Amino acid sequence: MMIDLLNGSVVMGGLPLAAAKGMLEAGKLRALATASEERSKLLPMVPTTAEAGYPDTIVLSWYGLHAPTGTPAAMIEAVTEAARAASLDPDVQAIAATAGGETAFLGTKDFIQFLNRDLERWERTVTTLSKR
Amino acid sequence: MNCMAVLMSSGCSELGRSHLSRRRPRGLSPNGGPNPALSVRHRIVAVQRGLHPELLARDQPAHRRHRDGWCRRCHATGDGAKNKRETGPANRGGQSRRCQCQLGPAVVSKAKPDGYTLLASATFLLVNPLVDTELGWRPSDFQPIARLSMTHNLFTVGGSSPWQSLADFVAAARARPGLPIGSGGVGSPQSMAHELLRVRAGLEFNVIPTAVRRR
Repeated sequence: MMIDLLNGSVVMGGLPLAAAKGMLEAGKLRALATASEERSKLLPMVPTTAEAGYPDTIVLSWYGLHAPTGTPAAMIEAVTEAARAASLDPDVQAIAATAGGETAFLGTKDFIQFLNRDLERWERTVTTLSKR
Repeated sequence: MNCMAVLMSSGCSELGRSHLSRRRPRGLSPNGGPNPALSVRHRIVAVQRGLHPELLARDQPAHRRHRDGWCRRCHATGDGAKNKRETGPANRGGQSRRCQCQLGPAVVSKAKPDGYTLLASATFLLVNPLVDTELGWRPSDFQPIARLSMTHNLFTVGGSSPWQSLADFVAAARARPGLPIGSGGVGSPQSMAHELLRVRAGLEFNVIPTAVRRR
């Protein structure tokens, strides 16, 4: 889609920051809005969709770790602690930023709460879109 | 923690570019034995970077590594590689369709729950079950461990576009229904974003299904 945006075959498109970052920095693409609750630290000048008047146009892309159901709690805790340590590592944060992402560690309990909220949001989104 | 498989699946937001690699990972020692140089932290770094688990698999015991094929994350295919073969049906839709990329969750859902096989999960884990009934896995097959990172989704235009704000774009789209809009695949988070905007702003687009990243 990036090529289509650059050559004008499409006039607008949704892109993850991770994919668009290089072209944004080169000025070949321009971001009109961030579809998140908060502005990106990497693009502080770009307003959110809520600021632009579309408060429910929020689409979060997250990355995490899941285990097959039934995995022993001790293993879950060990991996969680390793992930926590990694997320605090400045090298890891730099790598994530270079790739257009942000480390956003949540431990198991908080991750579950986040997933429940995000699932509700996705259910609302799919319901909204199925009606139209 | 010396051996762990982390199966990747981006949920395939790339159209028609499903690759499944079964080649022997480069740099693997002949016996495939554990490589203590790669810590859990390294593996998580690799996940953060969206790398293929071949990096992660170096310290996998051979019997585990070759027991199952693994899913190569679509975005990370880097088509300089010669030994990959395309096994997925071409031009299959993105996250809402079954494609080879769904092998990641399907494999992990049936893996022994011993903590040595994990899923590099992402938004697809929530979205796909809402839009596809034939996934080969259920959300209840997985238990959450931790969130690692986030990336923002953006509405973007070309650098020479006259539109400086979302309001500019919406005004133009109202004036000219049917503007061509790029989409990273049906069901991808980005396609959900422009669809929400379309509904909320009462617009009509001509959605052109193209890949997020084409090689």
